[in-house]
Amino acid sequence: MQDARVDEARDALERVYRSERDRLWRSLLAFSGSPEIASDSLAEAFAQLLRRGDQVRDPVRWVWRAAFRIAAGELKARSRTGGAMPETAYEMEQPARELVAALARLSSKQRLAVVLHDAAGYPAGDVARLIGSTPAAVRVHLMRARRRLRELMEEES
Amino acid sequence: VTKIGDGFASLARVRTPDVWADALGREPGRLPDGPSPVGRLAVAVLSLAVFVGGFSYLATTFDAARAPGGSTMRPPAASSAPGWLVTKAFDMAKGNGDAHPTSAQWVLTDADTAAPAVGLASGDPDVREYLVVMQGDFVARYASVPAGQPLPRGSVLTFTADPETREIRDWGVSNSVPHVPGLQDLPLPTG
Repeated sequence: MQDARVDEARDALERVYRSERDRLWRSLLAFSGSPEIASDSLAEAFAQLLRRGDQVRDPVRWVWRAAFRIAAGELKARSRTGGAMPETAYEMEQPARELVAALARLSSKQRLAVVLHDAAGYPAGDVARLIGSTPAAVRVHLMRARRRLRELMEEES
Repeated sequence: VTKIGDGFASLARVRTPDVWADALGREPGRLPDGPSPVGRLAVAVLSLAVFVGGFSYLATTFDAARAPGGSTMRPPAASSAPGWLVTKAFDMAKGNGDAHPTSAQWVLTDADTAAPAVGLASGDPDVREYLVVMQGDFVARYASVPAGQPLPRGSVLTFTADPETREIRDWGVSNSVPHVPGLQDLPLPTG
């Protein structure tokens, strides 16, 4: 009986994983610039979600928030320890590679806002809730991020 | 704009790996900490300084421009709950069976501190939210339960609300009074 409930809970979380994986992994890639960090953050966030089980009321929101915190923590750790720079040439077409390279030059908040809004498709209000900010602040980050991205990508070309 | 759009369109075609087996097999660590306590304190002190400075400027300006006999501008009491939270608390209490709770308290805290009060194991320490705790005789009429099951009853109704959107994030009815630092009285309307 207990095993059946555990299996059921795991199946439910696997459905969440299957529905969110592509969008979340690509967003993590855009944020971190590293397929390795994206994969590790995604796996770790779901491992933590699996451990918490039905204690989490909104698994989708929780796992997005957790995955980005893990990715941000890893980026910070790498910058502190002088670890290898994130790699960006992971079977990507040129426009995606250029975008990821330009994103890496934005501030962390601007990058997070533009990735969650433009890559993941969340409206500004949801982005604000995910990152613990206000919709107005998110719109300011978005405006500045897009302006900077345009400049960076024009420079590149 | 087109280049950025092309970039995102191209990003959406990148092949994604399947890490489900990795997630199932790994021993999870812990979520990285948010800003350090020192950092938070520095931000709080800076915010307070900006607020006090701004308020002093406004008070001076208004004082100079005030007509003789006019009213004196007063700062809002730091310990008063926003009006919308009072209204929301009253609606929640009334909607769940007790329009006149014996006590009501509130605090502006973080989602991790508030989490146990609404039945969650943890929350995000970087996210601010209001927590309201009311004691009375409640029936969770807003709860969704399977057909034929009784609605939960309890003497304690708790909920958390988003300070920006003013939406209720989580709520619950139980018989357990949470102890959260900073809770203070919330005066509900008597109507």
